[in-house]
Amino acid sequence: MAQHTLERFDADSNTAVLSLDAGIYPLDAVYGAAYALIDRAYVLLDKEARAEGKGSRFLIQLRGKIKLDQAAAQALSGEFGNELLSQALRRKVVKQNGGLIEEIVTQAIAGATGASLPQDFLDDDDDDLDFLDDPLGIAVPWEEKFKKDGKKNA
Amino acid sequence: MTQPRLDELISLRKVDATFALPFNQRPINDDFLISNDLGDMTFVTPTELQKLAYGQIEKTEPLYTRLAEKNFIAGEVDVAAQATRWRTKNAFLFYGPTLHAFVLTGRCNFGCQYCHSSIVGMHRTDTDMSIEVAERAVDMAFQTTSPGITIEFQGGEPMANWEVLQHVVEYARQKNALVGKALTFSLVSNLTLMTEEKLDYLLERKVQICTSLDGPKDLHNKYRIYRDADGFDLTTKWMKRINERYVEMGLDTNLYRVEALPTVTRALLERPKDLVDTFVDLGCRAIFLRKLDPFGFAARTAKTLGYSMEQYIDFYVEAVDYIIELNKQGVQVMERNAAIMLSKMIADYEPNYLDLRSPGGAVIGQIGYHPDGRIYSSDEGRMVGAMGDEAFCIGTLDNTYHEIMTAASTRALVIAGTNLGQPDCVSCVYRPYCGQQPEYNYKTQGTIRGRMRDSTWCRKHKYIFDYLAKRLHSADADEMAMFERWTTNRPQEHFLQESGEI
Repeated sequence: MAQHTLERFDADSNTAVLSLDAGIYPLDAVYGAAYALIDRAYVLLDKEARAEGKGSRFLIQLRGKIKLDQAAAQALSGEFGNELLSQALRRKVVKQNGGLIEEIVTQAIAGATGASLPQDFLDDDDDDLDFLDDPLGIAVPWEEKFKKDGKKNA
Repeated sequence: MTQPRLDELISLRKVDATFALPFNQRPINDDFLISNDLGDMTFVTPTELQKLAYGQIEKTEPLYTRLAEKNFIAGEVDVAAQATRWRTKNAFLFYGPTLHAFVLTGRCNFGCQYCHSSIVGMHRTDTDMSIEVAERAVDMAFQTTSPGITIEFQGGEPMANWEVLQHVVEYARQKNALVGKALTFSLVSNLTLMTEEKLDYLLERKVQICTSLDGPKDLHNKYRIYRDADGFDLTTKWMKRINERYVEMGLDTNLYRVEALPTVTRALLERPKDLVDTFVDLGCRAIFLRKLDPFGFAARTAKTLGYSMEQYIDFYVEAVDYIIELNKQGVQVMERNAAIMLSKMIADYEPNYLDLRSPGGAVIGQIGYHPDGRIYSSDEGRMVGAMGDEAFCIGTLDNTYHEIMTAASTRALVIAGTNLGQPDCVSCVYRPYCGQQPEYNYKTQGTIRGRMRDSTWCRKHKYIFDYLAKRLHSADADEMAMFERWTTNRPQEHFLQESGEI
């Protein structure tokens, strides 16, 4: 059996029903493919159990927003199939390249927001800076800063 | 001769996956074009491709040296040098939007049948950008982390809101006196509202001027309808006048000319040579053969003005063949799509053309500012907005710059505009040189990611890349010199506002 099939087309209700082996495509890909058609059809997704051991099938009901004929229903069905494959393959590709894509996107947005350290900061070799200087005394331990004069207290 | 079949040429069992740096391939003429992730490309014969795949090239062979120089042999890649090179070519990843499109008004005095911008009549002053919105938009633009800012005046006809245009120029120059960015202004105008006084101002303030010209006079006037005069004569009169003024200013005429952009309509398909001749006669050095967009009025008039991608490509090939012929006769003119693509393919230069980079330019490369303060992902995004769909409205001027850059929509657009996430793109030989426009995908295929396999965006660019690859494959020394000349990038420094200058 084909991976997806135009089960029936009802001209009166202007509706095409496609069926799809639920074991082949991830549900997210089905959602994505259905979404790509919502400018042309009202979409309803359903699932149908089959005889034991034969898994289940998705049913995709597409009611045309404009009048459909058999050829248009076939075309819509084909469009759904193409989008479905594209969605599924994209998921696979993104999974494979996900880390790299994430790094590029993160860098792009970080670059746009200025979140990354500016190069001139990283390259700063100002010899006047001495990180051992402590003009405000913040590195002086609390006990040392506020210790009472032993001699006076004695 | 038929093209070689890869599955007959290479047995997966024999592939040495460690010898070559990962590459993609595509048959071109009788050979293969190969490219790697670093953006190197070269042509190899079927036998050479097989030897590369099997890792059977001896170091003493000239082929080894040629492929090593192009970074196709993994063991010969200088990783540190290539990392620097990658960072240079992807510099746009390290800063925010450079292009800031200010839609100064929805008003226009032209009635172009294919208008992308969904314009309104000249009486609709309520669609003008106010001075307050303009200042806030400039404030937003200056928050970009980009070292350069281009403020592009768009419309409608932006010169219809002249007072605000001037105000933006003055206000931005004042801000830049403190900030010191590489600031430029660009005006996209039909030039019909130009006067000598306004031209004096634009030249004084170094505003680059671009216009639209649809080629032969009869076609220009047919599709760019202007009731008050002959639109072609008026536009070209000002083009000539501005070019004269550039000469008077002592600017290099090879570099400084009014940039004119044609929009290819169905009627123009039959007359590619007329179009090229018109531009050449006007002294233009570059022609950008732009296909109709799926935005604005063009979406509605596609049935009468539109055409198939195959028709466009036939037109494109005939026009560029003719341009090449003219070059051989000593005429200096180039096609802009080809120049951008060739820059990436043979000059190892990233021109940061926002539609052909990855990730694409939506939000992180450009922002569109609507007259009422809404902020869009791009000029195309605001065109979709003008059609009543706010999918690409990222926020308003009430948002902070940080909120715009980190919005969920921005992130979605950046991800969608990344070639590595597209099934066909990942295995395409042109991936290092190509890019995505999520707005186009959305309008033509219903999702911001699109499906490249049956996308007209992909088909158009792949056709042009193929055309160029075939020309490169068979180019003689003169043709190569011409293509290299097209990739020469000479910055138009005159248009840079001097920092500290008020």
